[in-house]
Amino acid sequence: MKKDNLLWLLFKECFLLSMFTFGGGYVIIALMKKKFVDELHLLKEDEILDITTIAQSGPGAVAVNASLLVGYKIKGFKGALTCVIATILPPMLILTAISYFYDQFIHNILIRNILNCMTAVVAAVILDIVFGMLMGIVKEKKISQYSSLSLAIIFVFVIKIDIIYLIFMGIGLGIIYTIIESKRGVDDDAIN
Amino acid sequence: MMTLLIKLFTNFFYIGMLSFGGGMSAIPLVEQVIVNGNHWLTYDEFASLITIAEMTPGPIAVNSASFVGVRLAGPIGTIVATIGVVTPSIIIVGCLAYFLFKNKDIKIVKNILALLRPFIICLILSAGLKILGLALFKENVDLVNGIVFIVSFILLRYAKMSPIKVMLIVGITSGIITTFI
Repeated sequence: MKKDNLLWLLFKECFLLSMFTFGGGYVIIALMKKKFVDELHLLKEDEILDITTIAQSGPGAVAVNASLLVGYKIKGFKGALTCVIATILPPMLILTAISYFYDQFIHNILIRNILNCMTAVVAAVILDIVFGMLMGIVKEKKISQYSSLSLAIIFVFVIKIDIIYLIFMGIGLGIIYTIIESKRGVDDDAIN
Repeated sequence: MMTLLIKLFTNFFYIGMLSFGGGMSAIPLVEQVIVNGNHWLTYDEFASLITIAEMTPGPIAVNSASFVGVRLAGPIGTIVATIGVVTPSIIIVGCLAYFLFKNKDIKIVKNILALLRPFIICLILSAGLKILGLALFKENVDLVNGIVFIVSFILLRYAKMSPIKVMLIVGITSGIITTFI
């Protein structure tokens, strides 16, 4: 009975989050962080970041991949399927409804204005989450954290590196780091 | 009908398999398959599809599948096309999840993921700033959206209101206010 409740909870939350995923994949990441990490404590902050990395590495929409991974992490394969179905249902229902009267929908001024203001709200949602995560790093006051963060800022905002290259770079550096680490015999958690 | 459904499934499977990085990067691929390849939509219809896909929640690729599916074959078409577009994700990301979560304690996997975390935070930050830019800077600076942004941020950060509530309350009220005043 309890297991079914967890699946139902996943379904309900993913369905709701998907309904509010305006403006691309990172919105759902922000919403998921708030819901599954801060409110329900089903995932850790590191795990949601790892899920984002993996979601970006696979084909398809980031939102779908991320909810698949959240479901898998929390409740295995069943959870993954539940979350994917819950995530694609809202777009299916909404688009089906709209396809029957899309001219009215596109030209409705009220809907346009709401959606226009919604972009500002969405920006606030994403930046609030990032602000929280950055504050977490600043509070820890670890030099390794600061240096990797400044490196990340340079790569993302100055060099504007593509996510795909970033992932390849991470894989390369991760392998090199692991080899050096094992040669030196350094123990775990050196970079965590 | 059956052949159309199979074609819907395979074509959207193809889109789902090749759209990496998500979001806008899927648009050219969708255009190529739907407009040029299969003539399922005219160019005008495709343009409205993109407008609708941007206005409604959900990923562009999924929205396109749902929309084209229902226009060509009704509700069953939507189901078939949408399942088609997410099947590659389920297979490939499912395998990735199985492998990576199972081997989470392998040092290489752990190190790669840990190295990428700050980058992911910055990528999310950059996405947020881009959306903020879209909201604030049009032909003129959108002052209303500036206020909406500040109010939403305060509600989220200091009043600890849930994002969905803020989206509903602030998004809809400010939309109504700008329309009728």
